[in-house]
Amino acid sequence: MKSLLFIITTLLASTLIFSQELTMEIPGLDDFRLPTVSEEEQASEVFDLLAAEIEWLKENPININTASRNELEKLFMLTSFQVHSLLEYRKTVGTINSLYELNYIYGFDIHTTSLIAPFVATGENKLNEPIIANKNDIKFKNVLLMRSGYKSNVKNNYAGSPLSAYFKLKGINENSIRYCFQGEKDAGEEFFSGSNSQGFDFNSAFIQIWAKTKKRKIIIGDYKVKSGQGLLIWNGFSPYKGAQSAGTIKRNQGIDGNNSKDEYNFLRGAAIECSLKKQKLYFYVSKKQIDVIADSLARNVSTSGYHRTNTEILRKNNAGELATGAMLRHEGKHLNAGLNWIYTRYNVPFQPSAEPYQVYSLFGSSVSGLSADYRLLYQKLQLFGEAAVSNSVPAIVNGVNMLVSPSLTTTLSYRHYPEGYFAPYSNALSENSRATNEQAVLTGFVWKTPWKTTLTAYSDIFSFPWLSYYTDRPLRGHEQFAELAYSPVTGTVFDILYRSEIKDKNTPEAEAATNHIKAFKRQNLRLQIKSDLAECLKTIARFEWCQAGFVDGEQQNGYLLFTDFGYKLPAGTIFSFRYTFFNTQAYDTRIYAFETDVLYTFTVPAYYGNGHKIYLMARQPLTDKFTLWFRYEKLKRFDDASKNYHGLNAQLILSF
Amino acid sequence: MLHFAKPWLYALIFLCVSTGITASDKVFYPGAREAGMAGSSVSVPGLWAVYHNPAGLGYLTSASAGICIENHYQLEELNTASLAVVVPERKGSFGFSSAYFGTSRFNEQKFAFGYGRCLGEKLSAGVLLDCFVANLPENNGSSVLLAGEAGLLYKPLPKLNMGFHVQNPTVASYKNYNNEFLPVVFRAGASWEDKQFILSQQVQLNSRGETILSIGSEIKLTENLALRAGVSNSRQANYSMGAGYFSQHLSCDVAFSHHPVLGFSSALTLHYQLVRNNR
Repeated sequence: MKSLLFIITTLLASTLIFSQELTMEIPGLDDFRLPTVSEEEQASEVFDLLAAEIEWLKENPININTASRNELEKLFMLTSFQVHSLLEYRKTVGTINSLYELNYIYGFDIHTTSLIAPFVATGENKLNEPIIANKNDIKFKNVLLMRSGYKSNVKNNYAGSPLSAYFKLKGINENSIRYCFQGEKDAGEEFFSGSNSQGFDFNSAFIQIWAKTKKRKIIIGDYKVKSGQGLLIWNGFSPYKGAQSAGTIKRNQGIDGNNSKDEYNFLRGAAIECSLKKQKLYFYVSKKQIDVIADSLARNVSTSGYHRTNTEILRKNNAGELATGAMLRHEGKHLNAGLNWIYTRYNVPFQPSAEPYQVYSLFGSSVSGLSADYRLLYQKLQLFGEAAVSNSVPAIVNGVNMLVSPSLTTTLSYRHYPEGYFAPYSNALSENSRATNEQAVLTGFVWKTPWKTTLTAYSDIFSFPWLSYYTDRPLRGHEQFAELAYSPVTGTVFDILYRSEIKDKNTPEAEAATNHIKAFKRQNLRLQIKSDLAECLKTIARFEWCQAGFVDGEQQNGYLLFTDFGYKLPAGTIFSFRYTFFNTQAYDTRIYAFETDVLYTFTVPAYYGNGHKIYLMARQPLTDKFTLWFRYEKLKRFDDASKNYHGLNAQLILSF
Repeated sequence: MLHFAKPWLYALIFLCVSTGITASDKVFYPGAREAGMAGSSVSVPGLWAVYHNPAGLGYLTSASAGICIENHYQLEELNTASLAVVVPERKGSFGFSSAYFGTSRFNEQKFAFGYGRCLGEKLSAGVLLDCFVANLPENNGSSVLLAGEAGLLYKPLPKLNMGFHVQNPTVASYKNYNNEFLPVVFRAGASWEDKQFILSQQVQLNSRGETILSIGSEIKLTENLALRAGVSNSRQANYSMGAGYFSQHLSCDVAFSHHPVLGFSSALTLHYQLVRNNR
C-alpha cells in the first residue's frame, strides 16, 4: 500500500483566471502545497473531484436573490460570515440587481466578487425556484463532452494503447431531473479488447429526480455522500488545510449525483433525501465492486482506478463492497447539525500485512461508524466539529472561526484521530491521506489590510502517534505558510508565498528493520506577478524556489520560472501559452505548477531535473453549439533525454 | 585547444568559457551598461536589446549603432568585440548584431538579425534569427549553427518593466560536435524605472542546470552622467560597477566587474544615435 499521504489543495487563489472558462481561480486549490503529496496519481484524483465540483456549480448557477443559506454555502469560496451578511443585506436592502452591488456588502470585496462571478446569477431568472407549473415541460439542457489525449511517455508495457479517451453525456431539466453518463479509458488501459471488451474501463451513470412538491430527492446510480466534517464519509471535493474557512470547514452535507471520474470515491445504488420542515433525512444503499490489493489475503483497497498492467487488471473489481447509511440533518439559521451512520461490508475479509505501520489497518470484513456533527454560526463566531466512532474507535475534530473585523478572520481547530480509527470513505481535515493516526492544532488568519494587501497565514502543528509509511517511529512535524498579495491596481496582483514544513522521516542509509528518523525540511518561496495587460490579454510570470533536505544534512535546491499568456479574440477564440524552465537538483525539490488544460481537466506536473516545457492551448467555438478545445505540450529535459515527452489533448463539447 | 604558458591559465579558460567537454557554448551578452548592472538586462530596453531581449527593439525610436569591447580577467584570449545596429520603422525596429570572441585560432562568432515591435500599449515582442560560427583548432574548418531567440517585454504598471528572453528554444546543436547543443537560456526579470533611477532584477536558468540571480541599478546623477552597480552569483563576476556619459548623439559607457578568484573584467561601449531619445 503506497497510498498513504494523500493530498493537498488549499487556500488561495492561484491560477490564471481568464474569461471564466479557460481556467478558474479557486480558493481551496493550490499547487503550492503539492510537494507534501507522495503520489501524483492521487493529486489527479483530487483535481478530478474539484473539476466535478466546478462543473456542477457552473451548470447550476446560484441565484443570489433567491438562494437559501444552504445553496449559497455551496459557493465554497465564500466564508459562512459572507453568506450570512449577504442574507442580511438581502433582508434589509432587497434585491441585488447586479454583481457590482455585491462589493457593498459587509465582508465582500472585488476579489471575492470576481471569484464567485462565474457561478452566480442575479435578477429574474429564478434558477433555484421549484418548477411546479408546466409539469409537462421537459426541456432538457444537455451537454456531450468527448475528449481524447495522447502522451508519448506512457510506458509501452501496458496492455492498452497510450491514447486516453473520455466521454460524458449529461443533462438537466430545469432542476427537476438530472442525468449523467460517462465512460473513461486512461492511457494504457484496454479499450474494446481484453479486460475491457465492452468498451471503457470505467463507466458511471446516474439519474437524479427532485420531486419538489413532495420535497424528495432520489438518485439512482452513482452518487456522492457528504456527511459531517468528513470523519465518516465525504465523497466530494475537499480543500485541505488553510487559513480560510474553505480550508478547514466542510459545508453542504448531503447527497448528489456523481459527475466526477474518480473511480473509487463514490457509492453505487440508490439514495433518497426527504425534507421535513427544517430537517432533512437521507438514506442510501450501495453495492459496488472495488479493487483490492491482495496476496493470499486481502490487504488494502486500491483507489487509483488504473488498470493498465497485468497486476492492475487482475485486481480490477476483485471484491464486493456493500455500504448503507443514513443521515439526519437539522438546517437552522444558526445551527446546522447532523447525526450520521454508515455500515460497510466487504465480501472478503481484510487482514493487514505484518508491516508494523499496517497494524491498525482494516481488519475483518465490516466497518460501522456513527457520528454527530455541528456547525453553529452566532454573530461573529462560528463553531464547528464532529465526533465519530468508527471501527470501535472514537475520533474528533473541532474548530472555531472568528470574524474579528470585516477585514480579519481567524481560524483555530483541533483534531484527534487515534491510530485505530478507520472509516473507508473518510476525508476530513488532515495531514495524512486519511483521518487516522494524527493529532494536530491548526491556527490561521486572513487579513485584508487597508493597503491593497491581503495577508494570509496558517500554522499546523501535528504528530502521528503510530508509525506511517515513511517513518518507522511516531513522528512530529509542523507546517507554516504565509502569503502576501498586493494589488496596486485592478488586474495586477503581486504575490509572495512562503511555506515551510518540517516533518520526521526515515533516514535513507539504514536498511535495518527499524530506521532512524530525522527532521526533514522543505521550503518553498514563490514570487508571482499576475497582470492584465489589456482586456483580452492576461499574463502571469512566476519564479519559485524550493529547498529540501534533512535539517542537519545537505540541502537540495530547485528553481522554476515561467511566463504565461492568455489571449482572447472577440469571436470567442482563446489562446493560452506558457513557457516553463526548471532547474532542480533532485526529486525532493520538485516544483509543481498548475497548467491550463481543456475544460474541466487539470494538469499539474511535477517538475524536476533540468529542462524546459512549452504548451499551447486553444479554444474555438465552431457554432453556437460546438466548442473545440485543443492542447499541445512538449517537455525536454537537458540532463536526461529519456524523460522527454510531448502530448496532445483534444476535446469537443456539444450543448443541445 | 589553446596552449598557454601557464597551466592555471588553461584552467581559468576552462572554467570561464566552458563547462568542460562542451567546446562551443558561448552566449553573448555584451554592452557596458548591461555589464555595469551585473547583466540584469532582460527587462531594460536599449540598443543592446538586440543581444539581451529583442522585445526591447519595440521601444526604440531612433536609428542607432554601437560597438562594444570586453575583456575578461585581463586575458588577451578572452576578448570580445560586438556590434549592434538598430533601424526603426513605423511600429517597431529591425536589429542586426555581430560579435566575435576569441583569437584567430579559437574563436566564436554570432550574427543575428531580428525584429521587435510593440503590440498594444503595454506589450512588445521580438524575435531574432542567429547564426553561430565556431572555429576550433581540432576541427578542420568552422562549424555553423542556426538558432533562434524570442523575447517579451511588458509593463504591468507604468514604471514597471518585465522582460522574458529565451535563447535557443529549439535546442539547436552543432552537427559535427557530438550533438552538443548551444545552451538554452531562459531569463526573466523585472525593473523599476523612475526618472533618475533604475532598479532591475533578473533570474537566469540555463540548460547546464545553473541558476543565476542578478540585481543591478542605475542612477542618473545629471542629465549627462549615470552611475551603475550590480551584484550577481554568476560564475563570471560577482560585483560590477560602471558609468555612462551621454552627449547629444553619442554616449560612452564603461564597466568593471570583479570575480573573487579570477579578478577583473572590463567593458567599453560607444554608442551613436541619430535622434536623442530618453534612454
